[in-house]
Amino acid sequence: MIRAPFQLHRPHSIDEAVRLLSQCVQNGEDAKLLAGGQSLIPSMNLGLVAPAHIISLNHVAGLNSIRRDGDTLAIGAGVTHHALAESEVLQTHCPILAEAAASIGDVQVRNRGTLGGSIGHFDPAADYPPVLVLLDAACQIVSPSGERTVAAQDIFVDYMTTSLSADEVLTEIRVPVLSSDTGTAYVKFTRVEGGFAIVGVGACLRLNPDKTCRSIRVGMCGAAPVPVRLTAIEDTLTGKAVDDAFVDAVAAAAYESAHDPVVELHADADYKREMVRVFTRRAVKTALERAD
Amino acid sequence: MQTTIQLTVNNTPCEATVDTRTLLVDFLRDQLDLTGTHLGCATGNCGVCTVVLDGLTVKACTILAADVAGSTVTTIEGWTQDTRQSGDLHPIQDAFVKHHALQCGFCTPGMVLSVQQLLKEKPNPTETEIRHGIAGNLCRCTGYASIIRAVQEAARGSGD
Repeated sequence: MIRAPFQLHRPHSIDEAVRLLSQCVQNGEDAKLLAGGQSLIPSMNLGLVAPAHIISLNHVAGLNSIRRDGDTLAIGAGVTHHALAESEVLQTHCPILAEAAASIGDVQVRNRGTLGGSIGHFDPAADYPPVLVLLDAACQIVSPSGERTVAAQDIFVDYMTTSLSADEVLTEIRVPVLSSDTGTAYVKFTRVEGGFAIVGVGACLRLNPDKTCRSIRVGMCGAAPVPVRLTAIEDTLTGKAVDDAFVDAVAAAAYESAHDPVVELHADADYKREMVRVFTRRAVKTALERAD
Repeated sequence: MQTTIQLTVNNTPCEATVDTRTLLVDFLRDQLDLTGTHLGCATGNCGVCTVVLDGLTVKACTILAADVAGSTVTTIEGWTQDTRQSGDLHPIQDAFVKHHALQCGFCTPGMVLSVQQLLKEKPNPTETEIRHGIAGNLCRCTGYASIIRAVQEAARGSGD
């Protein structure tokens, strides 16, 4: 039993959820949106958070679909990690997101936890943010004043802080359909299976017919309080041969960019920077192997 | 705040009034007397509170009872209903006994429900797949080697 009392709301539509949330905000009362609850409920069990209102999104229709819309995939905020990992559409058109989803927590956590919940909670060790940032994903957000679309990189502001306002609800995440010759990989370093990522690295790579680099995108979690995307190498390494020096250059850039890692019990700053280098190397090598 | 919920637990429709703060695990144990679902960490780590919710395993300490109104829940008691009536053990139970896959037994109900889901999805799992399949269930007796042997035997012996 959770100790602190709260009022539970179970809206059946986004409009109703937005209205309830907005009422709480206007009344100056703390409200939390509940999706899979894999972070929120344990936090409440521990007494770390005690919101006056819980607004469950688990009875809102229309948040659970994955659909292709032209050259993007539109994913409902309530889609679970399990559904993402198993989605054929995703495995075909954006496999890096499916791979990241499959790496989260354990079976039971993936069965319940959601993409939108993970984004809204924004643990700095979360696996989706670096992938969404490197994919130039867009987040659809609804509030009483209407809808807006925000680029993923503008969502993640600081340690466990997003740019979502208190009265906004994340409803959909849009990622691009990747061309079939794209090699992608998401690798992570955890102390034990199911643990939070000490470092997580995603890489997307395309090759030219002469096997030089056509494009490269790399994103990391654990390297800083917010996801880090290695934008500097995106231009400088395009057109380069994808040899050992290429992999070294990406790894070196990753090391340099990780100047402010989130220090934790299992990894101090120096160690974390070294692991950023190691896992960037692995991500790039795996993406290269998978690129046609 | 009290609320009334209707849901199906172990094939039986039930209606109950719960405090909104009640976790699914507490509801099952304290209000329905289904104490086969254990409570361990209350932080979604240990997996002893694993139940099947609408066909998928979840950790019942991370879910509000009031939020699963309308759902179908199967606990270890429901899953073993048939075998208890017939007197025969399910192949998973048989294999757990044969390979001493439980010591103190505290993790066993959750472990067995994770194993049944694993075998439903992957009838012939590799050892790695078994390890991934039970990653959300901690055995503090560290009896994992025996548990893995039991799962391998259960996979060989059963089609379900």
